[in-house]
Amino acid sequence: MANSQQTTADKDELRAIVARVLELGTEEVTDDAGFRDDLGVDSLALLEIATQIESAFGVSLTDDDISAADTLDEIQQLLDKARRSDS
Amino acid sequence: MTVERRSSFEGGGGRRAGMTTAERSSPFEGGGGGRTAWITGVGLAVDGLRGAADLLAEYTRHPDGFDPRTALTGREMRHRDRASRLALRSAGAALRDAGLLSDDGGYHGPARRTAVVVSSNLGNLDTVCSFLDTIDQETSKGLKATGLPHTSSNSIAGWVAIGYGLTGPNLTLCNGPSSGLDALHWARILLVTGRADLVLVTGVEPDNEYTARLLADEGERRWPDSAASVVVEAAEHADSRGARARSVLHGYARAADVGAAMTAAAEGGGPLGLLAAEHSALDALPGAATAPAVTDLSRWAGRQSGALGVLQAAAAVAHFDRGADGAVLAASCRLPGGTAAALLCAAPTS
Repeated sequence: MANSQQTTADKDELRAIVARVLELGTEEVTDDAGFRDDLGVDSLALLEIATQIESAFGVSLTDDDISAADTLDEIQQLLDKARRSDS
Repeated sequence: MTVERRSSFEGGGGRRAGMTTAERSSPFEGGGGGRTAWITGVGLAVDGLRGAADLLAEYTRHPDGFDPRTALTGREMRHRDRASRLALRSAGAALRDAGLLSDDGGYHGPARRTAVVVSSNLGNLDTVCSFLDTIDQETSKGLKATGLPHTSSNSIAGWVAIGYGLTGPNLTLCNGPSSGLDALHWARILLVTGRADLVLVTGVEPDNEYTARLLADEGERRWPDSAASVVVEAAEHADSRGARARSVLHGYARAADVGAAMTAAAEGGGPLGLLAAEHSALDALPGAATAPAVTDLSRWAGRQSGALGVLQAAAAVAHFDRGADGAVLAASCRLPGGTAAALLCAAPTS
């Protein structure tokens, strides 16, 4: 249960970061919206998203991982992976 | 006052120290065929104004006018700085006014023959200052990658070109009070030298905490968000697509003294109908000129605004659009050690 609440809280914060960087309403950043096709993300925006996630969560994301991410769900998985490797 | 006439086609070395005489350029003189430059479209993005006609009245923020709070959003504005967003809005309005946009908003003019000239003195001040603030407070790790392009002075012209796919010459003037008039002159040079058939000229200054602070430090009034764009087009190109002249760019001059600049720019341009300059410039008009109406946009747009000259040209178009006679003489003020500029916008029928 604690893990589930943590996941939801993380996802809300990730959604807020992505929405802020992309200048969109949080309702537009759905769990499975395609960053590139649906939200118009380019490489510079993705770099900005990664930087803000690193700053907010205190983790390190690799360029390869962030370049491959295309949905909020995938970003969430990246965050989980980064936490495991940092711990 | 000795007036030195100079053709747009002459090379460098024409500008001498001191600038005691006016240097005048006209498309009608010199070699190279003398292409005539028409204004064929105008667009504004000025806080509270509804269109160019509002430039002929006292500045008032109209409830149904341009509202930067709502007009500068949208996916096409993402990651642009404020100046670029304003420029994109006014540029789009000017291109549409000139009949150069398709229904889907795409540019259907000759992209490779269309240049972009931007005038802005403080357009990227907010980016540069906020970057320095961030480095000071958070180190360079706090910098936003998406903001980096705006540390370049030419980013506004770049975004306008990208936004409408304009791949001709692209440049920015940050030249003080005369910047906007200089940009129009450069547009004409691009036409008369055959570098382009159309030039999208935009003057823009954003209103933000950094510009407000700098203007206050200099004892100047805070200016509203302002962008003005005009399409400057070679007459034969406009003719070929059935576009009409809204005004004709005539003489242009720079001088140490605003009176000398105005005298040189107005030469051979016929009677004046409107002076777009500070009221004090009226006293410096050529002796033979009758006292025209005056619109002093610098009172609200700012004497040092890079948008000013293009706003003045837009006012000239509004003047002619309502059927008024007489040429419009636009002039910029001169800061200590600087240079004044003047540009004559002739009526479309001349």
